[in-house]
This record gives sequence, C-alpha cells and structure tokens, in this order.
Amino acid sequence: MKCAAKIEVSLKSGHINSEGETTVCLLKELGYFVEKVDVSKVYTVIFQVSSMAEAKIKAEEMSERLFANPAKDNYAISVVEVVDQ
Amino acid sequence: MKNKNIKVCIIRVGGTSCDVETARAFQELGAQTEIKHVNELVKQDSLLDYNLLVFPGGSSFGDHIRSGVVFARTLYAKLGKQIEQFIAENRPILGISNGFQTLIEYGLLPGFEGIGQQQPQAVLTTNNPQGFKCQWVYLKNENKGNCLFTNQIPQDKILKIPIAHSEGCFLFPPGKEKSLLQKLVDNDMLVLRYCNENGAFANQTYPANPNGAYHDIAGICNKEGTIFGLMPHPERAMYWWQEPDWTTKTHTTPYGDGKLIFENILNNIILTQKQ
Repeated sequence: MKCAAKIEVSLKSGHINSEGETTVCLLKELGYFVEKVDVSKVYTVIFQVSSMAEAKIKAEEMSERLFANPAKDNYAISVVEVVDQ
Repeated sequence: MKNKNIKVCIIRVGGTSCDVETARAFQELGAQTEIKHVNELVKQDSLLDYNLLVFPGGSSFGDHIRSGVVFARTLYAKLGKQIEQFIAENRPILGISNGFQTLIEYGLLPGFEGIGQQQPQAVLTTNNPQGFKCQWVYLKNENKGNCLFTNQIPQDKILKIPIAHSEGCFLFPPGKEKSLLQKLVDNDMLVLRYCNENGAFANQTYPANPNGAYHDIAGICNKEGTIFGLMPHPERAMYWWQEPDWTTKTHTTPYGDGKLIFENILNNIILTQKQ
C-alpha cells in the first residue's frame, strides 16, 4: 500500500525563531498587529509499506535520523493512506 | 615519517567551499593533500589510504534540512563502514565550520556513546544575535592535552582566527546542558572557547562570543582526542597577510595562528607512526 507521512518539525521553546521574528516585523509593516509567528517545516513523504503501523515506524525513524535534531527540534507525525485516482 | 609522507584527504560535496584554502594550508606544511568528491572516494574504496580526513567549511548541499545533516547522512550511507574503520584505527578527522556541523549531525562529536550512535547529541544552530557573522574572534585552548590538534599549543595561548557562519551557536538538548558539559570537561573534550583579546572568557556576551554558544564553546573533540571540530576557520588565519591588521602591524612570522592547529596534527601523525 502507498502512504503519505506528514512530518512537521518545529523549534523547541527557547530557540531563536529568526524566520518567525522577521515575519512578525514584516506583517507589522503591512498593518497587521501580530504578536508572534511560529514557523515549522512540513515534509510529506510518500512511500510503499505493508501496513499503516509500519508506515508510522518508518516515519519515526526518518524523523530521528534526518529531519529533526533532538537538541533543538520537536516533531509530529501523521500518516494517511494514498489512493491513486 | 615526515610531513611529505602524510596523506590528507579533504572531502568535497556540492556546496563545500573552503576546500582549496584548507588544502593550501596542509600543502604549505609539506603534506600530500588531495581534494576528493565523496563519490570518487566511494568508487576508489580508498579512504584508508589517508592519514587524515578533513570535512571543510561551506554550505554543503545548500544547508538543506539543517546545516551539515545531508553531508553527514551522505557520508554515513556511502562511506560509513570505511569511516568507522578509519576512526577505530585512531586516525584523525578535522571538521571546520560546516565540517564541524557535519561531525555533530553525524554523531561523531561529541560522540559520548561512540561511533555507532546515529542521533546528534548537540546542535550548531542559529546565531544569537541573529545573522551571518564574518569577523575575527579570540579563542583560548581549554584542552589539557587530549586533543591531537591542539596538545602542543600552550594552554594560555590566545588564538586569533576568523569565523564566517550564521549557524554556529553550540547547544546541548534543553535540560541536559550541565551534565553534558561536565562530561566534556571530565573526558577532556572541551577544546576551544571564545574569549576577549586579553583571554577573559566571553560569558556568552557578544561580540567576544559571536554566536551565543553555550559556555562559549567554539571547538570540541571526541574522548580519544582524534576527532576535532571547530566553528572558526584556521585556514583563513594561515598567513600573516590574511590578518586584518596586516598593513599596520609588524609581523615577526610569516604565519597566523591557524597554522598552529594544522602543524599540531601533522606532528602528532608523525609521532604516532614512530610508535
């Protein structure tokens, strides 16, 4: 079966969110009085697996080995089956 | 063994950009130096022909995902077994700037649990204050003799070497800072710390500490002292004419402080071969 794993990587609290801070400044320039912008990255990984349980395990491994550094990143995973039209 | 018999390999991939200066520094000291693309090394199966590996500075793979992580995982996937053997034979590895980020992301530094570990135990992240910093910094050698790249440099010597990075802030995972710092100290893995020109530690204040690094950490080594990573660029402080005051200051030596690091490791390779 084909699945899509959405892996969202965000900064742990206390780390500098430079992209978010720059975006806050720009939004203020544009007239929006925002307090904070949190920025995260979403990786959507499409791959073949034999079960949804396997998909979750693989996505977890990918997150730990590549997408997130535990010293600064949190990550969240959601997995859905992909049905080709 | 003389320097001319030492073979240095500088590993290049897309985006590395300090390979030529680093090669020049080793060649100046007489070592045989080659710049090899990672794919050439895979084809030749020849990593163990070299006495020293260098991961140079730059922005490998465009710094995608995180600085150094794609280079690290590429090395692991393509050359992992050879690198493991290289390290097991206590052959030295140097990582400069993006090369240091690569060593951290590979898990080779600090590498508290050894070379099999695949998850990083620290990170070199966004500078605080933010922005790309390209400036000269002062560094103090804190190592007590374990690091093969600095053990002939006097401990009170203040080194002047430039940085050029936007992600050089060394941090441990939140909540583990004190215990992991203690491990660095206990195992003599702490090597270079940012200080001011008089040698007083920066205490995480800018500009002496240019990136907000925890405990002013600029460079660390592994437990064995064979793997060393640092954010400053010693290859850009090899000659007196690379220094910012070269037109106004009288120089008594043709070299800058960066030379001490290159010279130190070559001397140690010779010593190791004699034993």
